[in-house]
Amino acid sequence: MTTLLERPEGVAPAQPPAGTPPGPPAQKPRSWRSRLLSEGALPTWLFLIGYVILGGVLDFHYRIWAQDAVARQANGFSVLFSRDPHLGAIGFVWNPLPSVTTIPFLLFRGVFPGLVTNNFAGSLASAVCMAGAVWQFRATLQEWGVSRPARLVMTLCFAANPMILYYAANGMSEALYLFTLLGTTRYLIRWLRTGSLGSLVYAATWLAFGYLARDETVGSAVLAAGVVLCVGWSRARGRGWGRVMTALSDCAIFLLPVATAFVGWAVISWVVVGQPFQQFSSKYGNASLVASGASEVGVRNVTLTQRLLFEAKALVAFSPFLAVLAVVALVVAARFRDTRFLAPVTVLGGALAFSMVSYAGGQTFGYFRYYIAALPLGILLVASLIGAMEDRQAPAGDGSRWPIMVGSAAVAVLLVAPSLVSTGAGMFNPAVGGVEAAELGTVFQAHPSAADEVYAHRYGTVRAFAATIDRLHLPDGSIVVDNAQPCLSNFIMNVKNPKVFVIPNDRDYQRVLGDPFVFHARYVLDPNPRQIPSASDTVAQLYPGIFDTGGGFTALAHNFPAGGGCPQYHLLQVTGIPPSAVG
Amino acid sequence: MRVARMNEAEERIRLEASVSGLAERAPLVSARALLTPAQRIGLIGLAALLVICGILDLKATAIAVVAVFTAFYLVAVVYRFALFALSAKTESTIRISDEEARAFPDSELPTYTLLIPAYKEPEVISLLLHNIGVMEYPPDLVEVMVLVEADDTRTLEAIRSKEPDDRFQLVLVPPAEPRTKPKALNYGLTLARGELVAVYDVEDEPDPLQLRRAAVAFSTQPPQVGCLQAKLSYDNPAQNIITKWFTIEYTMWFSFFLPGLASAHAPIPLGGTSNHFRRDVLRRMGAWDPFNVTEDADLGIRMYREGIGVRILESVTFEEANSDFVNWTRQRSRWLKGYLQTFLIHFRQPVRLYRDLGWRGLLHFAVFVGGTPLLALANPAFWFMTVLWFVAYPSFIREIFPAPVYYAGLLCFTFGNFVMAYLTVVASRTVDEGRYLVPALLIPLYWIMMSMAAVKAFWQIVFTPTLWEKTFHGLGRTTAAEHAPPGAAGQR
Repeated sequence: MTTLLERPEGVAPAQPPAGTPPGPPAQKPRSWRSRLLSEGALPTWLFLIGYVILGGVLDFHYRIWAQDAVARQANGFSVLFSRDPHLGAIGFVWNPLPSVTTIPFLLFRGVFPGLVTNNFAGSLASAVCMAGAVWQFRATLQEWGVSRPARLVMTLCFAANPMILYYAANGMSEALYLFTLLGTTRYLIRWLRTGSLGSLVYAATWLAFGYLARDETVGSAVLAAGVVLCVGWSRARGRGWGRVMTALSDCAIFLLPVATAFVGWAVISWVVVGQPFQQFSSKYGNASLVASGASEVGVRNVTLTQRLLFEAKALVAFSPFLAVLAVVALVVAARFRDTRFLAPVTVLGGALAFSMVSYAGGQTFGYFRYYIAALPLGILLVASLIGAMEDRQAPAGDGSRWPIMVGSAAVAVLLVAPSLVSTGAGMFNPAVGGVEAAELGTVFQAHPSAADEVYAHRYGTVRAFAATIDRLHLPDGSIVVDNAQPCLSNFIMNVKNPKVFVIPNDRDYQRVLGDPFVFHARYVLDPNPRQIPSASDTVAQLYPGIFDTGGGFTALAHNFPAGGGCPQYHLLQVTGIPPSAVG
Repeated sequence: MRVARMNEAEERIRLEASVSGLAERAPLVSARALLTPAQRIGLIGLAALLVICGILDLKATAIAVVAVFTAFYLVAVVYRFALFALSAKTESTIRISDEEARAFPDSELPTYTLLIPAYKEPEVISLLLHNIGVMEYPPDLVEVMVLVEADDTRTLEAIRSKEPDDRFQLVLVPPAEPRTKPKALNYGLTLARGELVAVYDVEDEPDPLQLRRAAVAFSTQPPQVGCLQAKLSYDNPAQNIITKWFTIEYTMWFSFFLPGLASAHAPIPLGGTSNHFRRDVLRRMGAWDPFNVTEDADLGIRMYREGIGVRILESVTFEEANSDFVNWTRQRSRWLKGYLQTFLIHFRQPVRLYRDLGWRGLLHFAVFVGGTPLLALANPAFWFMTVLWFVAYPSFIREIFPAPVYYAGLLCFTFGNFVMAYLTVVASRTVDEGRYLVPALLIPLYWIMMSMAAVKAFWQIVFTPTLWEKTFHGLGRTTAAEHAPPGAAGQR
């Protein structure tokens, strides 16, 4: 045999000589400028700026504040600045993430008080989240292989839709809801395409954040988990039990984060307030608000047919061709055996289905915004058709692609642009966008009705309240109040020292409410029970009739008249020990 | 089979180089002494400071300690998730397909030396000969050095009786302290002639194309890449729940964390086997530290400090997972102890370490090498406090967890534990097509085992330094023994 380890003469050594360029060329890190101007970043930050400006105009010029947005910001505010700052003050009636996202902005209250008083922190949070949604949306289109012109047209139609503009600017949770749903969709599409576990993990993570934003995500989780199970099973090698276990593993990876968020939130809620699902069981939750006939969009006297009709109108407003698109996209996907189609249908469609079933079943209100997922769903169905068409006509990299690209951009304009008009029409039709029409009435109506004027007067009411409280120069913990009542979040965030209030999120609320006299609360603030949902006021529950009679231990100190959509309030001075606390 | 022969003088010189080479070349990175005088004073000073602070204000001291650990937990959790995210980057692992590996012309392949230390494990010798025998590499370009202690007669007998072919070379390591695997490797390295050097354990079952893949991979990498780490896995995962956990853990390690570290250009603690080196690089840096019980991890850190690149190679070597609880604990406590040892050694010159590693590298080193044993040790204390809190609501826990620490702690407890368990489930999906979902969901039990091993490791370092000396004998060599079937393990 040849001598071991002796290289035959004349053979080059295997190692590259010094100076040889190493392997594949290292990717040059992109400069900040090229990153900012990239196709992914540019629409995101341009729309971010637009949304922030819009939010500023709404909050400071028109002073239009969406009530749920104010309440969510108030929860974030309680965590930081209430009498008893603690994380539990985030509240458990709503899922926590929308309130949490306002906290980073609220920290700058000292620099810019308008963040708190005019709800601008909430607007900034929703603007950032909606810009995030735009970013996810464009990336999803790219994931689908839609060519650039069509991609940009569709992104623009999504980001500039009137409902998207309004909900990016007003601080509501819709922005975070869409951000997380689109994140889930994007990575689920990638998993369906590549089968990479990392994508499934990202999809699962976005889904979990989605649940922490909105309950509707449960619908997405259920339907999409079914897809993961089936696709996982069909891809698994082997047979029998092993194949089932593979599919179950995929499903576990997809569901574990959202299941943990679900259980974790319930457990924390249970530990802190004694109820695992306050959003359903609490008297502030939608279910009980609906039952008590609250709100302008109550469902008590509405028949099932009327509810279904409303839902159909809402869907058409967001996506005029949704039904047709769904059928065509299903046929095309089945024809080309493209499973990616299932991602938006289950994730966005699942959340949508949850809303629809909830309203049809009388569990929640008929709010136009609850159907907002129909907008990206409709556009993504168009994207699935365009993607399939472009794939068949000219594979990527083909030089003769441009006529196809122009064609697909035209198709996008034709099928997607009408939603800009239909959504706008729905928004200002009181029978569809009841809340939006009312809130934006003063802005867009040439001759606003009395109902439109209500919102315009809100600011005056809030300022008058804050000025009265400020004049009293009260020490911390002086006024017991259930701040879930209308306008109170606005009131509290506008006074100079919000710590004068004892609110349900404070850990000693029940104790102080039970005996305000002994625990040094000087006043009780209570709304007129005839102007609010009857069962939702914990003060009136403990002291029935306190608004009118003083409950035997308080005397009327100040009357705040109703106005600007706020009910009448009585500030009642505590004069003694409540009869119920004696003995 | 050939036998390396030399006279006594030559043997002594080689032995001296294997034992004291590193300690003389760079005494400050050698583990010959665990602590330098300055370190000893520093650690005693720290302990004294804690005691004095505790006497002055017990509550504040407890809060500070809890806060530091909580912060460390938070960093560690975020860090591990970041490594997972980074591991998905394609460039972190070098992949050479079967076709590429075979198509590479034989004439351009480098010469290779395989170093295989064997200590008191005659039972697996035939396995070794078979597994190495089937590796695809031109026989005239490879030499396989089986490193056996000269007084280990049973292993010697076993090898001689099998009459291996001429690719194999028997190297008799002169019996001398310390009887560790790294010393044997160093000794072998003094004789190695291959341009590339690889390390395997006796019972390893490497991918037959691994040498070719490594050679091709090296040819595509710049000269400063001095080491390739192949992935390790186990061939007996189904044996019992410990082997299942162990396999899932290895998958996390080699599929997520090490590629993540490679992506982040961070120091990579090597695994004990299936490392491939450029021989000249290895020699230049003093090779293995014969006094370090995790010489592999230490070598990875030293390579990083000297600017030598380490990459992960997509090629699997199968080992035999430790299926016995006692053996597992013994092995794990040694690993954790070794990590701690490595951590202390490199922190002897913190400023120099900072200069070598940069702040990022320092973070990687502190969290990955220091954090692994420290947090495994701290876990039981925090679990205990959590259980106590929910069961009895003792007031002292409320006092040492002021709001910010409490919320950070709560986040660690919920989010942190979830992330670690979840990554385990994800890793289990890549093992055997996801059949280990149930063991993955039970992984907290494995964490408890890990903490028990950590307590043992710390106990040995802190309270019984003499036992440290005793365990030193042949510690490195026990790796192989512990991997061997139960019959072999008992012979140590």
